[in-house]
Amino acid sequence: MLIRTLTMCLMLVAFAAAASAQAYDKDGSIDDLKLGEYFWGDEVTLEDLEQKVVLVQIAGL
Amino acid sequence: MASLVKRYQEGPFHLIYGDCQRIGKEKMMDYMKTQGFSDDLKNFTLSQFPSHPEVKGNGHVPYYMVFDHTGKLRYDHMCGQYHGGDGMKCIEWVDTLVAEVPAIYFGEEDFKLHTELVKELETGENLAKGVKKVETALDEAETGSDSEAELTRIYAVLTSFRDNELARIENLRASDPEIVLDELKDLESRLKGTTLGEAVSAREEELSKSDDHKAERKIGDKFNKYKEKLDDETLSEKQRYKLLGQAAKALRKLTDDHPDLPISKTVEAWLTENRAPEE
Repeated sequence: MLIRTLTMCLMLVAFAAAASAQAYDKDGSIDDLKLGEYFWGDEVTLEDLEQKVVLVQIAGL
Repeated sequence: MASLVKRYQEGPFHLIYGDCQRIGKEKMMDYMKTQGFSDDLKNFTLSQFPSHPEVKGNGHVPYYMVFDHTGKLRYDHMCGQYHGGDGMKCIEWVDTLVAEVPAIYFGEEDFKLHTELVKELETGENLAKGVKKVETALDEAETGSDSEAELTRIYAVLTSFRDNELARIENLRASDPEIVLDELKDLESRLKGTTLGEAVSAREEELSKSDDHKAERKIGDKFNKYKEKLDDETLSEKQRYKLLGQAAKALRKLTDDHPDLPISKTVEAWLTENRAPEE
C-alpha cells in the first residue's frame, strides 16, 4: 500500500515537472517586433500584420 | 516554408523570413526561388533579420518566433541540426494558431452583456441573422447605457469586416475582375436584409451597369485564360514564345482602349515581365 502510494506520488511529480517544462514562460507581443530592412515579397508594417498568425523564421541558406 | 505560405494564401497568415547571416538580398532571393517562392506569392516578406526583446542571445543561429492573431508571442525556438532543435515544429504551430483565428475577430476586451451574440458572430456563419440582431438591439437600446456601448463596439467590428471584404473584392479588379460581381453577390447574400449590406448591394449594382467593368471582365477573362495556357510545362520555348505573341496581340487590342483600368496595368506589367514580343 505504502509502495503503491509512493509510486503514484512520484508519477505525479514527474508529470508536473514535464508539464511545467512545456509551459512557455515568455510574455511577448508583436508590437515589440523590430522589422528588418525589406528585401522581397510583401512590404509590411506591424499594422498590416494585425489579426494574422505571424511566423518569423530567422535563417540563412 | 513555401508550401506553408501557399497553403495559407487566402488565410490569416504571414511569414517573415529574416536573413540572420548577412547573406544579402540577391543570394537570399535566388535561394528562396529555388525553394518555391515567387513574385506571385503573397503573405511573405524576405528581410534583414527582425529582432524582439523577448528573444535574445541567438546571434546568427537559425530560430523562429510565432505570434498568434492577437499579437501574443506563443513560442520561440532555436532550431537547426547543430542546436538540437526541431525547426519544422513551426509548421504545427502555424496550423494550430490559424485554427484559433475566428472568422470575425472582436478583439480581446470582453463583452459582458452580449457574450453569446459575439460568439455567434465570431463564427461568420448565419451572419445576416446575427447582424440583424445587433441592428435591432441598437435601435432599441437605451441611450448612454452599457448595452448600447457594447452594441456600438460590436457594430464597429462588423462594419470593419464589411469594409475589409469590399476592399478585398475591389483589389480583385486588378487580377481577376471576372469574379468580382460573384464575390459581391456572395457578400450581399451573407448580409441580406441588413443595413450593413446596403453598401454592398449599391456597389454590386454600380459595377454591373458600368461599361468600364464590362471591359475589365473581358480583359481579365482573356488574360487568365492565356496565363493558364502558358503555365503548361509541356510547351517548348518556341511554342511558348508564339503563344506569348498571340496573347500580347489579343490583350493589347483590348487594353489599348482602356489603359487606365487596374487589369490593363496588370496585363501590361505581366507582358513586359514575360518579354512578350512587341507588334
